[in-house]
Amino acid sequence: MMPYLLFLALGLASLLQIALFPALRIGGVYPNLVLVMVVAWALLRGVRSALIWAVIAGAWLDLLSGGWFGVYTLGLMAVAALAGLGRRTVYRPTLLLAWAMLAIATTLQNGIQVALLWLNGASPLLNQAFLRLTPREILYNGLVMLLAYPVLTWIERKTGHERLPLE
Amino acid sequence: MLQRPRNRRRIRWWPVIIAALIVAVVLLNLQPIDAPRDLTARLTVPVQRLLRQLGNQVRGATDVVGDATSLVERNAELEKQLAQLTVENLRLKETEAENVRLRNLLQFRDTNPNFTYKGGQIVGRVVASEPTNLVQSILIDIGAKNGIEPGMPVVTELGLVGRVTAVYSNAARVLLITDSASSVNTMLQNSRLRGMVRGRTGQRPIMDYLPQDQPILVGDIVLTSGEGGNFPVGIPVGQIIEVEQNDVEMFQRAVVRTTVNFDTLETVLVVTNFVAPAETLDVPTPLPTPAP
Repeated sequence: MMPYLLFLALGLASLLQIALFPALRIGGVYPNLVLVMVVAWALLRGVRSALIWAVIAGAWLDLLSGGWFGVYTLGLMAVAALAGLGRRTVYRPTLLLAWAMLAIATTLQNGIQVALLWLNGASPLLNQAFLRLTPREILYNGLVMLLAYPVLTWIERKTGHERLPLE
Repeated sequence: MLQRPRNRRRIRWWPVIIAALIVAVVLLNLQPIDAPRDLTARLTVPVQRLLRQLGNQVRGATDVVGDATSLVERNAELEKQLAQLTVENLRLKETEAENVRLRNLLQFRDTNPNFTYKGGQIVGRVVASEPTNLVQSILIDIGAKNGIEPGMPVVTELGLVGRVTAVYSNAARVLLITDSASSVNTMLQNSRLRGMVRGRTGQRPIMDYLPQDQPILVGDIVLTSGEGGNFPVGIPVGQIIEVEQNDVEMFQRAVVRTTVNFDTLETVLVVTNFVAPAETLDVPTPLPTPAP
């Protein structure tokens, strides 16, 4: 995959996440498209490739958001590393594994964000939000994974022999 | 023979991670990098606006389809016609809904002549939210070039929305009153008791620091008190729906249902000429119906 194409595609995914998905919230929660993509890609392609996705998409989200710069990059990198480890435990990744990893990854990323925000002086009430929102977010992300996983599987097959410059 | 490429790969990607981590940690300690964010906002806000409109239309269509499903049970033919008309009229309905919102905003402006507003030129559209559900803030499509400044209060015709926290040339970020970092000095309309409404992400906001010896009634209207100078006095915030009273605590608290429905927020007004008054005044305000 051409690097600039990857940069634009992850930029578009980030824009979808902040502009379109919040309009589709259910029960006060909207899905995390970029997280779903990074987890799925880590399972399909491995940790190195997913880390590149995490850095690019994280930088996009950090630029598009209003909080501390680096919060999303750090969270996504941790998620990519974790999901990459999950891939090593199985012969072939499946949607079921993707869901399981997604549940752990959603919890991990939210936990990292709460910890970083808390370190930077956010309200302790954020911890309550973490406990209430994460289960709902896992469910909604799971639905998005149902759609995203086949698409990313197809892309992985199409670009299976290509390598990114940083890979 | 096989060891070499493995080692080489490790050498190639671990420095990238470590470097990225160091850069991220360093950047975490620097306060907002406004210039790159301003540039990003300038380039992406038009796209964000389009995507948000698309999202709003999808949400509207989903609602209409939901209604149509119930009609199917009564009349299959009617549902088919409804679905067709829905698709045909989707754009028109969107325009009509926007007209109603704008008219309501103008009505609010007429009933509150003390404030001046900026936006679209007058109205700001919500174009984006934070990437995470844990932070409740929005991006609106008016910024420094429209006269928006940090700290300005943001309202709708129904009540208080939040406060501008960051301004770019063509956009501004608004921290919602539902965010866990938000606190607003408020008072109860009937008893004039003062308290502080604090946001709780994922839950309804809570009005805290209410004195134990005073009765708090479910249904009481919560207004901004103007204390602290962050918001004008008398803007509706919400309605008390539950009182949490515990004898061992110093204060009692009350759960507030906000008058603004933040899930469907599309347009807002920014109060641009608000100056903190020397003395807080009680100004009667027309009360809107709280969000369901």
